[in-house]
Amino acid sequence: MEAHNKGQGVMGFNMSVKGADRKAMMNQVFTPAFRQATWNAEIDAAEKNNVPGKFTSLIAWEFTAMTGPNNMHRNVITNATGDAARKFYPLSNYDSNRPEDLWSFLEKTKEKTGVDFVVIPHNSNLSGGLMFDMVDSDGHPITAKYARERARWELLVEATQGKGTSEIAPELAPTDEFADFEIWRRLLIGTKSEPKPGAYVRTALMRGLEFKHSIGVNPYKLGMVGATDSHTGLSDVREDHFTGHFAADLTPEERMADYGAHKTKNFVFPNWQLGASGRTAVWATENSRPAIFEAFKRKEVYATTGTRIVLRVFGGYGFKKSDADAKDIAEVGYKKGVPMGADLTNAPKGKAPEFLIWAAKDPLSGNLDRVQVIKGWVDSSGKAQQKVYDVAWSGDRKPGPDGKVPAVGNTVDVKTAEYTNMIGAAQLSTVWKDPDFKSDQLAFYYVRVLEIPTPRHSLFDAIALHIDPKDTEEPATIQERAYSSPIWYTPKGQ
Amino acid sequence: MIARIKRLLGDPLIHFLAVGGLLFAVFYVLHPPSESAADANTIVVDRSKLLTFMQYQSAAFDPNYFDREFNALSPQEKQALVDKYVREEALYREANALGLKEGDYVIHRRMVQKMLYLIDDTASEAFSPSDGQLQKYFDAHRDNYLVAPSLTFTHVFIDKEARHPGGAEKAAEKLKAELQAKGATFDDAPNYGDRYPYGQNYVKMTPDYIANQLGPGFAKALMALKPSDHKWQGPIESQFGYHIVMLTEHKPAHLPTLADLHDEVKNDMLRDTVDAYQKNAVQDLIAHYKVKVEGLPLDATAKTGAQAVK
Repeated sequence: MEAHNKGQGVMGFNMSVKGADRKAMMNQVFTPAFRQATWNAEIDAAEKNNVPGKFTSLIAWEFTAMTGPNNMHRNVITNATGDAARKFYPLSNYDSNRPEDLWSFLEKTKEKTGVDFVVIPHNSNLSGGLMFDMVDSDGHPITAKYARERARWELLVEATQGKGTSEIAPELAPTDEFADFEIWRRLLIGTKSEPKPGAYVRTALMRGLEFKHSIGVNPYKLGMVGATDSHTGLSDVREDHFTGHFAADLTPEERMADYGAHKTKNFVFPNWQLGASGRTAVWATENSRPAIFEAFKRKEVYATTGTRIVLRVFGGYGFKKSDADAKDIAEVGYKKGVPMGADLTNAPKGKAPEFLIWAAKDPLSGNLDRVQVIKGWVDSSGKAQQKVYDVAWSGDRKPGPDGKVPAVGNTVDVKTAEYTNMIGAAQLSTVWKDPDFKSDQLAFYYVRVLEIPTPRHSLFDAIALHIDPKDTEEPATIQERAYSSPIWYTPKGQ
Repeated sequence: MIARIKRLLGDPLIHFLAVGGLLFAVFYVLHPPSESAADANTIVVDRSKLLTFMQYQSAAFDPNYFDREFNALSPQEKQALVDKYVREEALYREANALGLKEGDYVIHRRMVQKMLYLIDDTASEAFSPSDGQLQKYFDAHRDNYLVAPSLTFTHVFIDKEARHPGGAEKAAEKLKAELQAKGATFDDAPNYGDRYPYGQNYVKMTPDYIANQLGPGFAKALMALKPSDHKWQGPIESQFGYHIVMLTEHKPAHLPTLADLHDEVKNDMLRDTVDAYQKNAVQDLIAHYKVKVEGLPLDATAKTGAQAVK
């Protein structure tokens, strides 16, 4: 209270200045910079906590658009310094609800200020299928111009967050036995909504290939990130550290209040339905704003559901089987191929894309079950297809006739929420070659890594509350996972 | 605040006058009134108004950039800009005359926000703690500035899941003896052992950081070792395998001096000061209102506004 002095009181308006003088005075006091009070407060918070090499904060905002009840939120990440960010004022959903207006705002603002942006559609699973639609905001079919403008800014997509998985849903991938993971079948305001292709990332990537095939441009060429979207300011992505969606959900008792006879609050975000997810991993040359932003632009990023799996993916045509065991596997990858987020083309005659993949467990989480490659491609009729390949797995399990590796097992004791790493592997690496490659077909490949089953946050709550885990209405265990950004294959001349 | 106005006006005369006992301190901006004779029905348009208008129109704020933009406008474009400005200004004045801001909660909240920023800026401007006050603040918040222990080490890794005749643990013991016999140094570590997914050298890293990348069990075992510049120690087992380590430094937790942290402590003190000032200033403002709660059976002890009524 050193600065507070009762006698002096609060500085305020000069009561004796009247009329036009007063107006002129206030115009001077509330300058453009001052009027951006909220934006400035955000900038100040980012600046205060940005310690390159240790902790990097990026200046960003959310474009919180809604189309009816459908979530059309986008995160806008800048590469701005504090000074540069003070030169503009973000476009918000109060200015416009249309992403087209956001993109043209970014184009103009970049030209005026030199600041660059990356736009990340998020919680597309709650978009009612509108996030990756076949039409623009006016309902007109997507044109090459629209696709180019969108792809210029929308480089990444959120595959996982607290309010569910956006990677894929079982309804959209009936043969993917791991697709039923933290799926929300409702909109942001609680209305029921079944999964639609325009709401999920894998189907968006597939649509992207179809657009590339039909109009020549891919509007949905997206790398993968994860985030919490929690409203507590806490990065509570570990199952044993989950603290709920809002500040009022901090304890197991408070989270239970959404359930059973106590169904009194938070019916839109029942806490046990939320996931303790997710994270974004970035392959950057250093821990700084410019290096991380450049990695975003290269899409050299991947998403996890909260775990810190290490994941390297490289695509090329000349890997050796033994490269999977190389001590300098990343160097080999960069030398002989391209990293996640990049492109392949011009497959040499008789060759198919090969992928050098390396995954290592999070020392604070479970062992690894398996590594999968998810391929999407456009067939000769112009329709996109998908297939999941098991490419590396722990132990001596043998794939069945359908090519699928049997389940890894489950060591979780639901009475104690303890598990062992006696199953699974600490590291998995391989060189995998696409056995179904056709050099004239557009394709994408991304990697999904699964952990062994570990306790879900709702199980920890059930044990703390001495209730039956079934009363949480959620599974007691989950298989945490990582999703790499895709590598795209574009045939010569397409 | 003062700095902002000074910056704006160049060299204005600004006075703060205490109005005894009242809530408002007063400031004068002695500035030639630009519209003193202006008729309420006259809209005056000048270069500075148009520059501000342009910046708001494009939500970008860079006076130099817009100065250049403005100069580059054709006469027709300038006229279009004037028309746009006049349209907005006329509508704004009419809205004001009709009292349309009344009952508008967006404007209501914006005014509250402006008031809070004014208050905060007042506290920021007045903030200039003496060395003694800063030291006192630092002493009272010592725990916030404690620096965690740090360790410096390198490791040679033997992968449990790789093929090692006789087993990984035996291989690690054997390699450790070899490293010791050869006199392998800290910098030789990358030449030995298997691939590890995280770091090779850990320089002045905290136990938390080490636990995140090698596991809590490893971090605990490492903390128990005595540092040495030439001794290979371990192997320490992790979830990945066995680690032969050379630990060269283990710095215990310590409290830095105020001199080391001067700016950080000052910033923290500023934040606390502004928060406390705002709280008190708002209480002072509220104290000048009589609060009448009508038609609500409130518990006397739960009346949040009660302390404001004096």
